[in-house]
Amino acid sequence: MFGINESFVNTYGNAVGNFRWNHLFSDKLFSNLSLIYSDYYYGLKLDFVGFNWNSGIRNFNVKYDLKHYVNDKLQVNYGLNNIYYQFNPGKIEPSNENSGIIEEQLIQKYANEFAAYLDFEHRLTEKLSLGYGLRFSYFNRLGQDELNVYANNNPVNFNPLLYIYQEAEPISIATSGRNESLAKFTNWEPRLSLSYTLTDDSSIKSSYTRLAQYLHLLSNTSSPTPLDVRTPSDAFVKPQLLDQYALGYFKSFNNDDYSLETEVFYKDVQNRIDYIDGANLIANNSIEQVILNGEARAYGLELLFRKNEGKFQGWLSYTLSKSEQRTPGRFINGTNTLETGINNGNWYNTPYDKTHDISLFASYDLNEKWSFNTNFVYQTGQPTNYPIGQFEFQGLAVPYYGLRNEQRLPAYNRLDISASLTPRKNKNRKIKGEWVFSIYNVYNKRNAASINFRRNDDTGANEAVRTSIFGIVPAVTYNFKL
Amino acid sequence: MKNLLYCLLIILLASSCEDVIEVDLPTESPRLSVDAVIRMDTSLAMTTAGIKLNLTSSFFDNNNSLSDADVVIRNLDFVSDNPSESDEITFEEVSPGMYEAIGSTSFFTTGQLALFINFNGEQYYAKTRFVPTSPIETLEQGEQTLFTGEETEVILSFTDNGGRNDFYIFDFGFNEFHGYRGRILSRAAF
Repeated sequence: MFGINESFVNTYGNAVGNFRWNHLFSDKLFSNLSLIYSDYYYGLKLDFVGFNWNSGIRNFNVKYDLKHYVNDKLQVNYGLNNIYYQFNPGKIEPSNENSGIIEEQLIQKYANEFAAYLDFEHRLTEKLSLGYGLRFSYFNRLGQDELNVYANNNPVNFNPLLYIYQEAEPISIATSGRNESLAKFTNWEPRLSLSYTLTDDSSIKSSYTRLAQYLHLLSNTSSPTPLDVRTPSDAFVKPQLLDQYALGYFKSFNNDDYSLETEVFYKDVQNRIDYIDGANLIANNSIEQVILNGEARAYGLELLFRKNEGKFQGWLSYTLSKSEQRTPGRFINGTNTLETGINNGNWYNTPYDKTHDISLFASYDLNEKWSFNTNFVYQTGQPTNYPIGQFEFQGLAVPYYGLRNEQRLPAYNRLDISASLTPRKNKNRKIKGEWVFSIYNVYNKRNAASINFRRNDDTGANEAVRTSIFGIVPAVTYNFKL
Repeated sequence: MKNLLYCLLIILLASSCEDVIEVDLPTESPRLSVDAVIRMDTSLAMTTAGIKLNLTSSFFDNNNSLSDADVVIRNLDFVSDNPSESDEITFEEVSPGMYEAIGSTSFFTTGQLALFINFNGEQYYAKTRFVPTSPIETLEQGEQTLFTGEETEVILSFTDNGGRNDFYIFDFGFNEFHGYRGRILSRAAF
């Protein structure tokens, strides 16, 4: 719980109940049955406004997993899984009599996901190992109290005069019972992986996976906020389908003193949604009115080089990647003209695109007492949107924006160092302790968590304001074990 | 409610460090921006309407004003017995970017209004209708404070028209705006 006197109180937590039954059918077949109940709760109380806000997700999960060691070359895993979800996107109620708030419950949502899988881990030869499997998933979006019905099943309209997308007015509201189905999805999710030993100290791996993702996180801010909600798939927000391909090479040098891992990957995502300009997601019962459908893809190269032996050890990792999406417009009714979509239907950065990601870690063991380590991180800045101009309206300077995710925050970089002291007397003590002296962010880089634009109250001029969270943080830690 | 939730998130963020920095912003060629919010005092017979025209500028530069535009408002549903009364009012430039005209209040408050602007070889058009509001019935200063103890409490009341879906904005001057969405028939007080 987190609060500022009694006027603002934030409560969140998770209650979990878990029942597990393990059973050995034989020394080769092992099973596990789990019944899990989880209740994630998020609450906010703002007394001066006079309301309490609750939201949360509950789920009931039954899983039955079996592991079968057929022989020393083949292991088979199979099982069933069923989850029933109940989403409470939010309920607001007045906290006192004078409050101007009316009680409102955002429409609760229900869904059920059933899955069955069969998976093989097969060592074909000395050099070649295969993993292959298939998962079947069935997602059922269940009925709820109210659901909007739209003309032509179209919840978002494009206004060709103003060139913007607008929410469509529903033509009626449908009520359905908890046992009725609003949408059903079935997906087969195969996976295949291969690992081949080339020589004594090198090997290659490759894999293919398909995944179906039925729950969506709705958030149109760059950082997570407490009001982000998860929503289950429906007729308008289809499940995301991912195909991922990866190919990797591993080599160790000098008897594993050094090792090198590299991997390239490519991902294809269908049914990726993005928001129309000006979408308001907070307390929105009908998300379908503010989203458009599209696709996404990501690809990249990862390198990891390690030194595993000696007083001086460490690793260096580098990832070069691109993550982009495309949200094309639909055809305007009865014409051959396309709507604008987002960024005119071209590929644009997702909010998570990170071109370069470098991470270096080094440690040095001086002697029994002292060891030192250091950590350096460099990442390309997150995509963001800067205003491309301003206009004046009613005495206010109003910024306006251009294409989505075109600009970037400044690159993130940071250096940390630390020294550990293990007193010699430790060997004879019952409680072994160690001191760690560290400095986080040694050169005090103010990495931008976000950049906002505003008018300065004193000078009246426009300015860009960077919000950064940690500067230099020295710390002393004492660790002990009994 | 939503506004207050946004304010709260901003307060939480403001507790970390903020500083002003230099940022290179992209630019584009200036566009016409029209501020045609006309406030009406329905107790007066004649109204002086002002429309501001501006060019957009890059975020850090100052705004550019402009001249030489033709600004006309036409009342599409205009009905009058007097033949010398026109269904159109032409605005005159009184200072760079500022266009004014005087018309009868009933011209602006009855029927649909269309705004036509001719500038730099381009023509612009917009349409709207007068939106009446409810008068403020009581206004007094209260004694409560919020976080720092230096806030001023203002208690006002008005009757919201339950038949319409209205949105209110409270202009306390000094560019301090607060919004409230009226959805109930009874009075509400902050």
